[in-house]
Amino acid sequence: MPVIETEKLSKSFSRNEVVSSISLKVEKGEIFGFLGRNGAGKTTFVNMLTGITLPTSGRMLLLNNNNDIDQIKHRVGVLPDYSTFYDHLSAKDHLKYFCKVSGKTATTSKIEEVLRAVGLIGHEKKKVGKFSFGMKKKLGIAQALIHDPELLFLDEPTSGVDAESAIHIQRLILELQKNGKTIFMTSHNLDEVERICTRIAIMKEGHIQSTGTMKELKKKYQTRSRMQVKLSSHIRKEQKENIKNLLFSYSIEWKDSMLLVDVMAEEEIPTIVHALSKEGIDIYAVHVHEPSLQEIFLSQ
Amino acid sequence: MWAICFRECKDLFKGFKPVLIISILLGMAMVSTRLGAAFPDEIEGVTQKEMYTSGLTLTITLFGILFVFALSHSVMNKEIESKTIRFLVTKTSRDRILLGKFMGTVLFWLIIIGTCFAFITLTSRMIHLTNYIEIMIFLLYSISAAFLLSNTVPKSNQSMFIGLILALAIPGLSLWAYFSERWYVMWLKYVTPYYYTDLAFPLQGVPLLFAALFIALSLYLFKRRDF
Ligand SMILES: Nc1ncnc2c1ncn2[C@@H]1O[C@H](COP(=O)(O)OP(=O)(O)OP(=O)(O)O)[C@@H](O)[C@H]1O
Ligand SMILES: [Mg+2]
Repeated sequence: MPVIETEKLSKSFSRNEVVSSISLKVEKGEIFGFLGRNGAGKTTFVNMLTGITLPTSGRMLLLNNNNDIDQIKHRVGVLPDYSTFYDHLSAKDHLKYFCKVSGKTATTSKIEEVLRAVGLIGHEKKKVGKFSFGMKKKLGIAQALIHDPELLFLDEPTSGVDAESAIHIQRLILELQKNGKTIFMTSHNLDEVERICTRIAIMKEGHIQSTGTMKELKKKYQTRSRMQVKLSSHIRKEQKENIKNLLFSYSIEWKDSMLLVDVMAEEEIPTIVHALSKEGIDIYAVHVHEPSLQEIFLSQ
Repeated sequence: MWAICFRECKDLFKGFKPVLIISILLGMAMVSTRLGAAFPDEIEGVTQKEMYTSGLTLTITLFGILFVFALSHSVMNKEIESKTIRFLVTKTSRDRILLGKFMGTVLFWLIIIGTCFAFITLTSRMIHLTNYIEIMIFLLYSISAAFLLSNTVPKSNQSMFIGLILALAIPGLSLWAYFSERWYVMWLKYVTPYYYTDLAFPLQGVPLLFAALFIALSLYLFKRRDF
């Protein structure tokens, strides 16, 4: 059963359609990564699912509740892309209040647990007006977690936080997944998405360009991989000539003691190794460079 | 809903404003009490009992809308401006947010006016229940109007400016309408609460119908917005 399901969900701002008929399914336990350039419509899409913006048309279904998202709001946690807090309240007061708004009561130990999880422990009594940008982002994540939701929407959870905190937050997201929660996140950090997301969608100008696991995306967009072979440094000219003849069907390039070959499939790697050893050239290392999410992303 | 209600009420009690309002109201009540004691026979149409509260009633009649608008003109649009509304709207329904805030504001005024009347009851040794209800009806109208204002005007500095003008214009225009025979002014008295306060029991409640209408309109607008 999908936890998130949208059907032709669209949003226009005064005739300008920024999300166009998106149909998407996210299963329980996934960390779904939503990518796209600035202005692609990611936030608008998330905001429709979380009740911040109203869809122009289409259907959405969260946690199998067909009719009314108001009824499942207490089971959903949201970090919006932008928001401020009540400056005169402390972090603790915020969490207490927001938890009550969602119809639950936060115990002191739960508040501490959540603040520790986001790395804000020790700041619980400080007025939020005095928080830094990154600290507010962490409090934003904390308020999304305080009522123990099953489904989380995190719009750029690690943007604006320091490198160490970003890693901390990524670990937290993985931990939440381990505890059975479903996470839908947007990010501009492709490394992060590649590392933690189980499935990815790339959005462009309001449409979903492609969806799939990292493996599926690679397969789809991988036209060729680049094979790097490190060789002994003394290679004679005629050896190079022979290699060129043996591998005439490949595009090859010499770079110092490195041979660079473009291959289409893994099965071609032995052919190249064979050719080299036939010429009596020692191989020190072989490395096949697969396209990263970044390359796939940029090719869109 | 109750969390939002109590938060709103608590926030209204912050600072010197409630103390100032209570002081003004009690001060005026004291003035009218003294006047009543000094001229026991000379004030026409006002009973001795009413003299205890008439200063307060008059202040609310003239400045009640101003007080309410000053405190609540930005009750909704400020949260929308600062986007804190996003935290609320992702956690509970829009109806509950608006009604919670409304009830919080009503609770604040119930307590403020209640405190004033408790003092007056202590000094006069009389219960002034009808008067309390009359004032609350007037305030309910004002509070609902403030909510409608805050849902119609998107920026809090604009709603403060417009609220200020309205709060001064409504009593003035209503007074004019009350005594005027001209058709284009007369209707005004039927949509503001002043005319109804003098009427007998069921008609006294008409401002509550307006209050309900204002809140229904506010809800309608609030539920159709993007944040
Ligand atoms: N309230 C609004 N009114 C009008 N246009 C809007 C509004 N909100 C967003 N847009 C437009 O919708 C498009 C998508 O915006 P959105 O914020 O969803 O992009 P995004 O993918 O989240 O971008 P980013 O990576 O910068 O966060 C943009 O062109 C933006 O100008
Ligand atoms: Mg965005």
